Amino acid sequence: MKRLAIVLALVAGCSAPAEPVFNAADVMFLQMMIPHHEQGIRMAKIAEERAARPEVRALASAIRATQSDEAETMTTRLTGWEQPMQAPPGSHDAHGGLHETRASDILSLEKMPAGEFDVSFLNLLTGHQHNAVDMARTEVRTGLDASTKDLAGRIAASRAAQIQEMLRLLAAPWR
Amino acid sequence: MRKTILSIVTALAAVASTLVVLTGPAQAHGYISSPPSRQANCAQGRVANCGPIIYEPQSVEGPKGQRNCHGGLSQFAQLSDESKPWPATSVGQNVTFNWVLTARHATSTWEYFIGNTRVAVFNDGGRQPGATVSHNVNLGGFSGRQRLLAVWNIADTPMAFYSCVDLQIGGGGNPNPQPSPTPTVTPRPPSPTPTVTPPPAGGTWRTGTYYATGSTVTYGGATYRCLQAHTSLAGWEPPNVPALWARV
Repeated sequence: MKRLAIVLALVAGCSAPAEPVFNAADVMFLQMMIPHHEQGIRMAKIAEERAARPEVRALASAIRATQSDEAETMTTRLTGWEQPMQAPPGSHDAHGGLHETRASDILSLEKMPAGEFDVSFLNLLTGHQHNAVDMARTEVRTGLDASTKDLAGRIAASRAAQIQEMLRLLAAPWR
Repeated sequence: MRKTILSIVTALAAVASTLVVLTGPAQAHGYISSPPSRQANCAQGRVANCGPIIYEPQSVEGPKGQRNCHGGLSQFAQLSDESKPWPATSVGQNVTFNWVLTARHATSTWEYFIGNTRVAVFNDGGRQPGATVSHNVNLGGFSGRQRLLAVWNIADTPMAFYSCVDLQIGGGGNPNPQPSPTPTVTPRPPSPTPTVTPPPAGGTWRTGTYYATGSTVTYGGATYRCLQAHTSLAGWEPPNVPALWARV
């Protein structure tokens, strides 16, 4: 029946809707990366308000904008594949949750004394983006869907570049 | 364009598979970000030819009790290579060391050594550290150029994380350490200074460049207009980040 539909579509000159070609690694990458992005966006929003250095605010603002787009792309893809937005509980606990940025860590940025904000934010987001690089490189190595692997390659590259920029900002204190 | 992405992806995949062979699955991690440790200088691109540490400065993990910069890991041996042009940060007697953590292991102690002298120790008593950690350390009268070794001792494993920080210790207590001039290292990317004039219209997009809202660039034969001021990065090529660039 399905084959018949495809044949009919071909005969009619239309392209049949392609069966999604993805694997469990693609799905897990998206399930983990979407909330990871949302945490990054929350941190960046706080920094847009609170950071003292203009370069830090500009970086935070660009990170918020680009990650919001990426999160939307990833959410649309996961939905299109008819996969759950969240993995079954416990499936990512290999590290006992040690790699997560906790909600309380993000909240602590709100209460940070102004004089300590920039350094704390840069260190927190650098650690967060190191974990993004790890996840993205795993997807590049083990994923199947070409566009998700492309996205993961760009995430790995841009987060590595962000880490370089943040380390540069940390090494050159603002006066 | 697509070819570029594919080659980047291929390169990353090659690197990733190499690292897996070398180090096994991702473990847990941390390093000193400022004053910059050797692995931070490598990851930042300030010191060249560092090997795979540039991808994971947080992974210098080795058995406790060592006094080297690379945790005894052969793939990170460059960190202990004293012939490399490690930049030293100028500091006073009191220095705040800031850590980037990517996993918060229950911690026994944080130790700081200059030579064989332990200049500071912080005992966490097995607690899990916060998301970021900083310690104010008095350098105990040491002066001149010194290599400080910081050791993060994990409470529930036999392992520790190692970070070496090169310091130029002056007199007095400068609370805001400034990096010393670094004539021998690779040039830094241009600083993002919001006062820079926008690049001329139609210039080719480059990384490490500040673009003001409204400025235009060409990339892959197309012209793009900047929607939001930012400093460009690898991975933020105009066609890949519609939040930052609109095709004209």
